[in-house]
Amino acid sequence: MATPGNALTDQDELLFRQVHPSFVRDGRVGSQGFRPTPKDQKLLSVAQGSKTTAKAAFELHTECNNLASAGTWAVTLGECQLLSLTVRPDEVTEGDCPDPAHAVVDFSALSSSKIEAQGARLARYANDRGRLHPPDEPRTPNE
Amino acid sequence: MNRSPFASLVFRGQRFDGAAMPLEALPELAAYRELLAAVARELFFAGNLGRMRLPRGFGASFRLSLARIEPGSAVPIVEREFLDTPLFPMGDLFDKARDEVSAAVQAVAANEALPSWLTPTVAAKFASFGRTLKDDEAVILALPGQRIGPEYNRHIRRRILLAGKGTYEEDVDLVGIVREADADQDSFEIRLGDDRRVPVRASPALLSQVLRSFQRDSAIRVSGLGVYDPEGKLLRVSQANDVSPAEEGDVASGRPGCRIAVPEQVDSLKGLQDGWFDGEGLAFSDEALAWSSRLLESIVNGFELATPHIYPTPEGSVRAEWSRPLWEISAELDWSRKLSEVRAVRLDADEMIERTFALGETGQEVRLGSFLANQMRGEA
Repeated sequence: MATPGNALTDQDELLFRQVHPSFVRDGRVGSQGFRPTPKDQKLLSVAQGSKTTAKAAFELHTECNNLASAGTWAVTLGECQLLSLTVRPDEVTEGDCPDPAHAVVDFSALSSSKIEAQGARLARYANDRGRLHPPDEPRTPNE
Repeated sequence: MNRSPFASLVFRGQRFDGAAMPLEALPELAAYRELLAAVARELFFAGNLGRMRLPRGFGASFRLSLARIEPGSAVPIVEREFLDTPLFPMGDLFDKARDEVSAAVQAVAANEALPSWLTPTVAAKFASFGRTLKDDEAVILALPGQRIGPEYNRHIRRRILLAGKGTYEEDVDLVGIVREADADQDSFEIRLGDDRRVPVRASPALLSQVLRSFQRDSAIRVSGLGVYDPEGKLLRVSQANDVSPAEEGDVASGRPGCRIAVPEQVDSLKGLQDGWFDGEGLAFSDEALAWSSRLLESIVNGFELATPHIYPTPEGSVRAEWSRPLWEISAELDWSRKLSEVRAVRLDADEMIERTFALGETGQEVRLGSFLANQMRGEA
């Protein structure tokens, strides 16, 4: 079960996102990595950087929740707000994998087209920032 | 003034056939002179420990001139000029520098130790000598009247530079998109076809062209001096010599995008089983993937688009995405409905362009390609 918490205020706070391996190609996150799918009820799951780390968020997702992830990318609260997307804490308190850092980016007021557009914009922010965990290896042209 | 034969530099390669010395290769002769002068200075100080300065007129006493170009590829005959009354007997030191450079080139070719005079200052002179050589070209450092000697080529030059400086420099000719520009710092960043970002320094005059391309979101061509690390990775362009708008062919050869070819990307989706996305997501049929691959490849090649990044969607479509400085462009290909939905999302404004193409209808594939091409070039 998730419970609402205090509002986020730090514009620079990183919001970690686990991205499915199929949504990463040649190191680039596709826009689907940063928009909710139909099962998400228009809420994009993230983890608050003030409460966890990129590494811990990755490990919780892959080892405890046993879900696939190509790594941790991030956007900031300020970037979400720039796109008029609200973010709120959504702590997971029950189950085998409690997640006090869990938060959601709310797309519920948007049409499907608008969701896609905002997802593309968030993905661009995340791609410009680069993968935070595992750290990227230097790439060579032949990779 | 007296002259005496000093060296025969045998330039080999297609450009030098017929004893022709291309004008753009002539700076090699001046660079050779500067290299020998630098080595001679190091030799002087090595032989005169405690001396802080060179004798007066040391550098000026070393004068080389191009006597003629002889056949045998192109063989510039280099002569040394002497004053009638030498100021001091330094002649042997410059002759020795010539021989030392030849010996060093020979040593590098044989994987032997490099000489002690290869200081960073001298390495910088090696950076200038051989800069214009292409992969299939070389200079034979021969003594006067001869045609044989150590072969100096790009490979040897690179190894000498790495030993002396840790980096090496070569002329570069890049095509890409300007990502950032800083007029105060006389610099900008270019994103290349393989998504690498390379910092470039440029004069204010060239920066004006860069800023225009940045504002228009269009590709540019940059030539200049590239600095590489030991693995051959381009670190930066230390100075741009020219910046110009890229032409169609330029974009084709250096278009930004994914480094993995379209067929290979689409082919990788074959491995996805039903439920591939956390229990959701449909597997792709071979027919759907073949259709998507053929369509995307023909559009990318036909309209000279950047190679897209290709992803599956849980709903069973193949999704291609292109990133441009101010836009994100996507095209979803739905094989079952023979439909493509295209979106171009502007990043710095609340703007999105959407189109749907019914690919079962005649001419729609061309319209799809044309629409994407216009979006890539900022014409729509």
